[in-house]
Amino acid sequence: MLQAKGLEEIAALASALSPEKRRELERQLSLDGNPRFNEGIAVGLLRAVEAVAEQLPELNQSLRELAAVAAAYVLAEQRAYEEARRLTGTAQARAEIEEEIARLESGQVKIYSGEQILRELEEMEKEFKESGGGQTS
Amino acid sequence: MAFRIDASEVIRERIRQLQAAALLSVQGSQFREGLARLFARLAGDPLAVGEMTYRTPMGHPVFVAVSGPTAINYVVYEVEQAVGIVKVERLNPPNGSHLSN
Repeated sequence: MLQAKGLEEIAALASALSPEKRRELERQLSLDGNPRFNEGIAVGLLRAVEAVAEQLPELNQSLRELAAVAAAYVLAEQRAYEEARRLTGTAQARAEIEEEIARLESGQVKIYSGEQILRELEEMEKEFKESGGGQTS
Repeated sequence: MAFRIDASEVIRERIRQLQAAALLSVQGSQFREGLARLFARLAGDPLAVGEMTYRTPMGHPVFVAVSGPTAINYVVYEVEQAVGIVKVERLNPPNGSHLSN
């Protein structure tokens, strides 16, 4: 709980940063692991901020910004996973998943590759844009 | 060696429906971009991407993973070096909007 409170407090500082700065710091942090890995980075930075706050004040501002961005990312990620678990954790969702696994393992259905699906989505998007969709005034 | 990513016609159609809805919403291309990021990471190491939710009776792990507004469930077949996409959802904008990686 203390850890969550600490993350929330430092995450609030991220709202003072520009979106460009936040994206740049997110890139530096390489927050592309799983949620537990990302949380480990955020908590580690939070502890580092606490550790250097008094000893190395000149380093503290940069470290606080990094920690703030990591904490904000992790909290948003936790909310997203919570919603994903809510959507996919029901008995009905589990039954759908089981049905899909059985379908894949049957060897009796046509299988599409991830690459092929992404290509189709890109084509959909291109057609949508060409038809004037997605234009903002 | 990269993992192969497989999906049935049912999942492919579901993805297309969600993409169409995303394009008409404020999310625009974010749904496709989230799916592309997830697929790229799954191809590398699917066991290190999301959260494991359970194992099938045959022992294959089933995960949930999120990127941007895109949430997927997938099953990993380690011996076959394959991943099966078994459910796809689109999250509400406020929850997914900060997750750009």
